[in-house]
Amino acid sequence: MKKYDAVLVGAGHNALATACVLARRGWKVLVLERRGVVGGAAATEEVFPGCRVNVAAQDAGLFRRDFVDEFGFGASAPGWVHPPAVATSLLGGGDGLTLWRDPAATQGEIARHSRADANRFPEWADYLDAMARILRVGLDHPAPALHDFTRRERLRLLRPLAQAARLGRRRVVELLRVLPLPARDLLDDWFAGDALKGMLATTALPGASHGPGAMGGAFRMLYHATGGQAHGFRSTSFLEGGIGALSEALAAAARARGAEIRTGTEVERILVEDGAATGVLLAGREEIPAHCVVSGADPRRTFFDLVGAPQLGPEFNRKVASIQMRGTTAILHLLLDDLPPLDDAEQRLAGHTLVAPSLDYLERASDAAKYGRCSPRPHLDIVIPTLHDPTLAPPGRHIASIQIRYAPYHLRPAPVRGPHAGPSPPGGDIAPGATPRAGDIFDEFLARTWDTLDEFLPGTRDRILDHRLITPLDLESEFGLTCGDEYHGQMGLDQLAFMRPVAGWARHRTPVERLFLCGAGTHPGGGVTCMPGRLAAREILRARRHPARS
Amino acid sequence: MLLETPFHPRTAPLCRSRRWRNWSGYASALTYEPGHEYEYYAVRSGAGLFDISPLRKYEIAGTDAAALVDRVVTRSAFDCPVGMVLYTPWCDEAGKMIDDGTVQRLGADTFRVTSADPCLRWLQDCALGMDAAVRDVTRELAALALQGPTSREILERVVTGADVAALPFFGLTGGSIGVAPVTVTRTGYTGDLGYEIWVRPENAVGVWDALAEVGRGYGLAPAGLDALDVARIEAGLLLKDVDYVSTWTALIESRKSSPYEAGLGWAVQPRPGRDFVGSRALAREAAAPSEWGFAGLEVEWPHIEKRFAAVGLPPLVAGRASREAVPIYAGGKQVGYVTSSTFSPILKKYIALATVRREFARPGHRVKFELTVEFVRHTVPARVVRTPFFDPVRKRR
Ligand SMILES: Cc1cc2nc3c(=O)[nH]c(=O)nc-3n(C[C@H](O)[C@H](O)[C@H](O)COP(=O)(O)OP(=O)(O)OC[C@H]3O[C@@H](n4cnc5c(N)ncnc54)[C@H](O)[C@@H]3O)c2cc1C
Repeated sequence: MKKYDAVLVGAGHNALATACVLARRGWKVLVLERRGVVGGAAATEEVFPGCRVNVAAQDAGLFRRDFVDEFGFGASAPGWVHPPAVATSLLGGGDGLTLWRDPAATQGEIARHSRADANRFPEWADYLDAMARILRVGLDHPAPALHDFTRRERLRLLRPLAQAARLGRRRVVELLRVLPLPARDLLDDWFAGDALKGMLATTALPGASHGPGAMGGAFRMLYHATGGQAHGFRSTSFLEGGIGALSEALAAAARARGAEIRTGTEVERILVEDGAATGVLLAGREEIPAHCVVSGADPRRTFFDLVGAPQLGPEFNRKVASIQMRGTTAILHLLLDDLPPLDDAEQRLAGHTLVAPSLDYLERASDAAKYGRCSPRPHLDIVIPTLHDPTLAPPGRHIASIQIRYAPYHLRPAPVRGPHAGPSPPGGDIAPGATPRAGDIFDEFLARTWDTLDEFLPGTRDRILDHRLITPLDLESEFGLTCGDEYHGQMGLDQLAFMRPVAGWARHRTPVERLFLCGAGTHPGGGVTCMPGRLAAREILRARRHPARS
Repeated sequence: MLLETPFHPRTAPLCRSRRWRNWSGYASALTYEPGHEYEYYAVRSGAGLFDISPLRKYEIAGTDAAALVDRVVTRSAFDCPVGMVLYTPWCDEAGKMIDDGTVQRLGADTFRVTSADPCLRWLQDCALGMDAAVRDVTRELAALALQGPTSREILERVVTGADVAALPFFGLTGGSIGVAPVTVTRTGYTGDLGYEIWVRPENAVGVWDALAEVGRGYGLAPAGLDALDVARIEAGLLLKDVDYVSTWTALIESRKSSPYEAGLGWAVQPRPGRDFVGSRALAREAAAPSEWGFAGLEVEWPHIEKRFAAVGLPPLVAGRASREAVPIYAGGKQVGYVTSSTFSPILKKYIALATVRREFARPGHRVKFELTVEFVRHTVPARVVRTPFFDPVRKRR
């Protein structure tokens, strides 16, 4: 039987990036993906007949483009789209606030609300980019191995430190000051206008189950600006053909270098012998031996479901069990027969369209999640990819994909899994005392989402031909995201750098020899960045060169 | 305030010395009479009755119960038949000892583990992904140790529904004492013929009374921790955090001990394919042994007498067991330290448990034991001997 140098579990974009690097080194690489398509959470699929929909992730602004340059994707290189609007905040009553790629236009918009804020905005945009640039140095280098701080490790730190210092020592200190701040505090320092602050604070929300008042929000805001060109909001760019085109391009690049990719192939177990990975066992009982196994699935799934806790030490298992995995995002795809009725819709709705009228609105929406409930007035982040590439839907049709917060995976009281209890009672209310069904809870949540849409983007409902809701429970069952956590583990300050995925194992290695992790659960974290995959590939290559130095 | 064990209504009035100690949060008698000698001799010539309820007890049940125990402890749990008990240490992933205790196999899928200190979370962490539920039954189970040459006869008269006489060393059986269902194990911490009796707290006092009543004709005496300490040193049995430091309490790496270093290498039972916590580290250590080992020492008594006589004193060594660390020398260099020592009343020798450099751990080696007489330090010769120091045939027969 053919023996692979590396078998990769999952064809998420990170695993594909790892596969590219390993295959380029001449490694014999096999990627196994459970789903029918590559890309994991960054995939574009037919959800409505004839329509290609970004099933989960929408925005590829965090993707490290130098990776594309490095690989010279050639004909398969994806086409980037940068619509004129970065984001539009819906304020109700047809009012809105748009941030444009053109800074002058942005200033003009903000000035309608607050002249002082408008004056400060260019400085803020520079500040955000400058801080993000320093943070990125930390993210694009391997996490410091503080648990095993040998001389070699200290030497490895010199480069990023020098790089960061070159960006300005004072700025480094400033970065350290702001990282732990709640988004609210950082924004209160800069701006007066509630609408502007609410809108900017939305960039602190992905990767956390808490609202703008939670610690570490400033870190997440900066994290979402590390793709460069944040325009005071977040790094944002879209793709012709949808975000899946990026994953397809990565897959094509890996294949071009000899990697094999098998979709529709679920890995059931990672095989371990004497503490070392020896290959994988497929759901169809086929065994595939390999020199090393690289998992792009999240750490909890990898260790508990694929390796099995009994194969690992109890101290390690405790850490894995304690990783915070808390999905709170649902996604709603709409098939529309026209754009939502709004002046200048084609322009204004081409970026992120937000229901986040104030910090307090977001905070209240997140309150519900603290108690295991869905937000009665949720925060919406709407992207209309047909404005980036009209060919995604038949002529005259539009797709809107809405990230809705908060819809917690961990509902309380724990509901019965499964769709409906029968026809919903009027108003979707759940009888007191009865154990709710997850399906009913999310029906109710959907009803609240319609209300919110009616309030902030009235008339949209009349244009909906079809819809599909993906709850955190679906994200787990369909996309393999444990607890529906979109970032394979929360992006709190306690789960970063040398503590990601767990303290002591930040270098993509695991207690199982020749088993590596390459997904978003590892440093630097979630989002469509490809960085975990790239850094993992480096560590895997190093481990092969210096097996003893693990 | 210290907790009271279920036997407290009986032990409290008997404890005329009023000498209590905190054992895992419970008031535990050090001695019942002012001195422990009588209690010690009860263990060696009659029967000593110890309240050992403060031991931590865990019940493990489920189809993976045996697999879980096998994963936790260094001895192979699958080799323990139903109705038998194992004494075993257990380790962390680095192969350093956490604790030691006994594992009772109550059924194919049911075990009871005793430990000196709490380890519920550890057992549960080890059980992740296994079908094995771990329950802390410390407060649901009172326990007595009946230790000494007459213990078997006493139990034969008291226990019904079980053949105590036929119970093998480290065997386990169910039975009754009066109306109380009990588990009897032929185990103990004295190195003598002895049993441990496990009973629900509400039946504890009745069991005590039954034993005390029958025991009267068999030289039974309630015995405290001071007597136990002398007996366990004679038996060469380790005490956690005295003879070895648990990896959980050690402040620095060098204080931790592996089973090999603590003289429990025999209890490490690797097998191809057997993966227990610490097994890989222990395999490495077996291949490249540590520089430390365990030794039993006999200190030459005449030399001790002579040192004291030189200043006009009788040998003033403590009548009780000592837990003071004492340096051991060889060739003018320190080669280890004594962790527990005592004058053995039955052997009439001064004996000690020690951690020494491996090359000195083999029986027959001669070393020097530090002895301070009238504020002046001396050394007296000592010999490395095999443990147990005292090992009566009746223990196993
Ligand atoms: C609703 C949603 C919206 C998001 N929006 C954005 C966004 O706009 N911008 C952004 O940057 N990020 C966004 N993210 C986050 C981003 O998509 C993820 O963090 C990122 O895609 C993770 O990539 P990955 O390669 O590490 O893992 P994944 O994409 O999760 O890939 C893991 C792959 O492994 C496969 N797998 C798992 N188990 C097995 C098995 N046993 N056998 C075989 N295959 C297996 C899965 O099917 C999956 O394909 C969003 C996420 C979600 C869920």
